[in-house]
Amino acid sequence: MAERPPFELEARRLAPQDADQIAFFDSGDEWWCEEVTTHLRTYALPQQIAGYNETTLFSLPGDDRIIGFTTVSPDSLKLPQVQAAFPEFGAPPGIETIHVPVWIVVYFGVHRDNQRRTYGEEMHARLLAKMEESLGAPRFVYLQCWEENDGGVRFWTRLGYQEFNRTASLKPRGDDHATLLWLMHDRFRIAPHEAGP
Amino acid sequence: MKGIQVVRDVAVERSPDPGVMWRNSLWAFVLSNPQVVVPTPRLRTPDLVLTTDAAARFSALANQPYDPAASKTNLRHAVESLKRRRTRDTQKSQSPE
Repeated sequence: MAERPPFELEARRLAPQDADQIAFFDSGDEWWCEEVTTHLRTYALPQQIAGYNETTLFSLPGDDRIIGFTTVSPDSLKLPQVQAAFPEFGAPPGIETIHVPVWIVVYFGVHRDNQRRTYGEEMHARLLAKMEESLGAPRFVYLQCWEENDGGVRFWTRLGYQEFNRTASLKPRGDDHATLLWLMHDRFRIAPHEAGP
Repeated sequence: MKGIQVVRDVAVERSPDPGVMWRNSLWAFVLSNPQVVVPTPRLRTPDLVLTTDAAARFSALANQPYDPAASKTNLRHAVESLKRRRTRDTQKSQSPE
């Protein structure tokens, strides 16, 4: 069996002609998966058209079926929030504002049939590459992950994300509360576990 | 969003991808830093002008301290980590288990 290349997926910006494929996307049965699926099927395109965020779809070459997607948006965090994860970070001299421009991964999902096949890692590497190519991309990228989503928390932690906040939020169905972990990645910092084998 | 003009902002002019994400990054910055925005009532579009100084502040704060070498290394490690995991997956699939 041939060795798999680092990048197997083709990326494309979400467009109206993707509607048919979006309808088949399903990230799983857990309640936090339903939220991810609903976002792509219902909200991703209108939000992108409104300029709130941008969704990238990933598929295998020659196949329009959606393996996974990322929705990313510019955002800002207060300086103390960033310093909760990275205490050494501070505003440069002459900067009085306490807000730090960041990107937020609003939603990130892999189709249930393609999970645990390293596609998520590839999609994240592609996000880092996109930020690397974009001169205006900020240093920090963060996201929120439900604490109950053990696999998700392990995934992001393995990629170097650090918890810097946690909040109690209504579940998507609005019937109960759950804990949201706020996790942040510093693009200028080399996580030790990533450097080793 | 009608648009934001950044006066002589080198960062925007050099950006390889001056798309909606970049404009929205500026917009988010404008919303959280109204003190550095210069309104331009005489101009129909764009409806806001970000001064060069404000744009420089944005770039400085977003990237401070700017370290392109670390960013590239971080990305390279992410790709190498991905390669290692895929190699392990391949070996698992080839094992007689």
